[in-house]
Amino acid sequence: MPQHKSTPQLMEINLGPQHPATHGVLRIVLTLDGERVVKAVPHLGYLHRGVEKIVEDLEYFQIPPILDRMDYVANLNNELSYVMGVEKLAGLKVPERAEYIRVILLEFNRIMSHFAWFGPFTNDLGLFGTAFLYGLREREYIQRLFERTTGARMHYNYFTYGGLRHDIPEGFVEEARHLANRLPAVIDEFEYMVEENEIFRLRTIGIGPMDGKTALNFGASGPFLRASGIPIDLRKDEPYSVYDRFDFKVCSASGGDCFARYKVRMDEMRESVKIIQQALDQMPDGPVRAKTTRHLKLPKGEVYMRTEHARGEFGAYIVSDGGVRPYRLKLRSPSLSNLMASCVLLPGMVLPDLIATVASVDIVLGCTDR
Amino acid sequence: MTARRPLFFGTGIVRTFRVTVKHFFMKSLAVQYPHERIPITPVSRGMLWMKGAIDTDTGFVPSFTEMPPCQARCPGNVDARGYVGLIAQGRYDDAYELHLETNPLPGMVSRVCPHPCERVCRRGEEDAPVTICDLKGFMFDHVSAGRRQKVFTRPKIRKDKKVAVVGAGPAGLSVAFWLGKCGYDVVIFEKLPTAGGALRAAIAPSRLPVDIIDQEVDDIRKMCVAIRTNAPVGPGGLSLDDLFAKDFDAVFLGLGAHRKIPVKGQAKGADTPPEPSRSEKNAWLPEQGVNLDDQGNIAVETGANQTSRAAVFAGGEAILGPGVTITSLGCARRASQAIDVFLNGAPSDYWTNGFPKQDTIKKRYDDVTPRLAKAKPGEGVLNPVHPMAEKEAIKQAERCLSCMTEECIGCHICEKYCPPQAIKITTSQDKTRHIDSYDIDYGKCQLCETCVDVCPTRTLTHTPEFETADYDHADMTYDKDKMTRQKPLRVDIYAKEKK
Ligand code: SF4
Ligand code: SF4
Repeated sequence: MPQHKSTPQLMEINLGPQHPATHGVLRIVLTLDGERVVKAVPHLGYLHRGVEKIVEDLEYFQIPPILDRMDYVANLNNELSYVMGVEKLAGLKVPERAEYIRVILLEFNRIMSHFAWFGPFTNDLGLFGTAFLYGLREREYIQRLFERTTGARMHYNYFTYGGLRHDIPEGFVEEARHLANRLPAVIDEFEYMVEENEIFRLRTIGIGPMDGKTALNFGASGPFLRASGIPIDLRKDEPYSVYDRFDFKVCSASGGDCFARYKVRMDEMRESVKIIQQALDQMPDGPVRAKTTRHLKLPKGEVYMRTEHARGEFGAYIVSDGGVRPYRLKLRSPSLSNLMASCVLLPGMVLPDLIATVASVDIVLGCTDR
Repeated sequence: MTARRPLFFGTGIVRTFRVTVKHFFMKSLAVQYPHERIPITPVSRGMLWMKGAIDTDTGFVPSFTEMPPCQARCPGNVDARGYVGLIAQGRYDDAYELHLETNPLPGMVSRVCPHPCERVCRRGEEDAPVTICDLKGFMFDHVSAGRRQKVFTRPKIRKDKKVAVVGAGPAGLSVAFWLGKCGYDVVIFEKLPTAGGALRAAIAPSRLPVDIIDQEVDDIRKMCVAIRTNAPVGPGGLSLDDLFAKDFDAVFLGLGAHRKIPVKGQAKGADTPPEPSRSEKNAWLPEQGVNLDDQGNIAVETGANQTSRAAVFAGGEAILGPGVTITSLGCARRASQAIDVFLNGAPSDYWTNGFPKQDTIKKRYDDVTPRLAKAKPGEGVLNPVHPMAEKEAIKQAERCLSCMTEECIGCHICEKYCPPQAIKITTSQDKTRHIDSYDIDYGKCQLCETCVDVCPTRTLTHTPEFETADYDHADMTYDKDKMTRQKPLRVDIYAKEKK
């Protein structure tokens, strides 16, 4: 049957859930007109484990290992919101040393997360292999420090209400200082590797521009929002832990495009290094865990604790009915809000730009799906 | 400083642009990598290892270096886990003998002690603490006359040195016991007509029956040359110089800080009320070369019991001020060791030849049922009364979780708290209560170490091994034998803490 020449030939295809460029099990149902995206509908839930329901059956001390499995690239950040929420409701005072160790590890974790983002991002842009391996290689050095400190490579289960599960190992400070001192050069190297690259620039500058207002309306946060010119950072705006004692900048960029998101993350890592160095200098001696009971009973009430995760605002809303288990634990995932915000950008793009945009948002499906 | 460098990229595009020198590629490669600097020990949180289980012969010898919470909290470091474990085995005499190593006055202490041990009891976190103090009283009531006779006998080998103990309070009596055990000739000088110190003078008989005091004083009497009552040292009596003139080689000042009048309705926890004029009472001491501190207590070297006068030692309330009996006993024990080392040159064998710890691990236990609701106050706690019935006492003693013994007792606690429910334990319900099976399903385990955290005996520990893949799901389930099999690669995460 002859086709009408004027009718566009729309094609519906699945991007994901098993696709290397979707960074996990994200499935986007695309309606394509040739290379151009007409409609993009994300389908979530391939990694849904019912975390929020599981934790209702667990006592407060059993919950952090489950939260590790949400955003598995920056797990300590997940643990933090939760344990700080519990501490807030229980009125627990965390020893100073524990706060400092937390900050050092959190910032390293942020850098690790950005490295783990940098590699695959460049991969998606066609800088196949080299930058990817560089990113993972550098992450590995920090990973080793984490393995030595927490015992685990991925699911750390290191923070607990009242402080840390155990003290840092011998040689931690020297090793952390050495890592922190060499990181700026590494970040420079990464920038040097990609920033002046023709392909990289062509595929990021002006691609997927997000304006700040839309991003805010979608509840976006973190580097994604800051790249759109809105310098919101909970570490500065709502200082928790000991973040008010450090001198660091909130990094933002005005472009709102993929390049701006890349740039914000790169700058942010340098600030993280500064925080780590200051924290290492100021870190006092003392205990790392406040005196508390294992079977902690939280007073009746509710608390929302949010912290600046590597990907944005990670929140834990704890409702306690006075027992040893939470009545409800609602978790706010930055990945989800950022992904939803970025989806408005997708229609009208060509397919490779869609890949670049989704990659630049930096989502972790464990966190969006929980 | 900037330079212009041509660069080649994989795509074949050649461009010239400005690069700052700090971006120079080779420079950062020259930065040393951390693994070249610091050797990284593998302490990964891998699969679990069970050091021992009470009914398997693993060849693993528990170290007993780490005190259980009750013992660590006790000011006298009395081995509560040990004697409670022996009571659970029905070995009351052994329990009593073990008890005397750290506290020779269990009868009196069981009636007056504020038992801080029970406040930190690990079992208390599960339902209710073991009633340790009542078990102490039970043990005192049930020790056989023969064993009592045996332990309160002076050793055949004597040291031929004389020690004068001033004050027949808890501190003085226990110093006399330990030094007697070491083989010294001890004479106790007491200014009151009866021995017993604060416990006799200031505790209402309804709380501490007089016959218990008499019994324990008589026991201690067997360890000394004599207890001289109505024999004050100080004003109106002998001076320290007199004592040394009488051939005493060392003097222990166990002067109480209590009042003489019994006080009715004392507050719980304070078994000795404060004494208002301590400085006046001790005023004679500086003249004899024994200095006092600001509070009027005898001043001793920090961390020792040596006073400012040679061969004169002090302990208990004399240096600490009014306090709890068991605190005095802990202090007195250190003083006894100091006197022993002073007179003998080295610690006597008595201090090291203690009751074999391995024997104290009980072989029966009352398991904490999985998903057991926490007991409400008054529930699940056995009746804390004197005297305790034997059946009740054994049941109570079996509730002890044998903390830190590094032998799995099959208490089900790890099973109860493992978040993905990877552990399955079955224990026999008969008298032996041995562990029928212990299985960890590594298909479910998330290596979170919650079980390691909650295990009261600390038998569970992690290894840096990862073998979580197999062809058959059944092989992923590790049973007790597989769990206790020791491999050279395995490390003890608590090794550092122990040191
Ligand atoms: S608590 Fe359960 S899941 Fe966690 S390490 Fe132990 S057996 Fe594995
Ligand atoms: S928690 Fe209890 S049952 Fe589990 S390993 Fe430790 S002693 Fe054994």
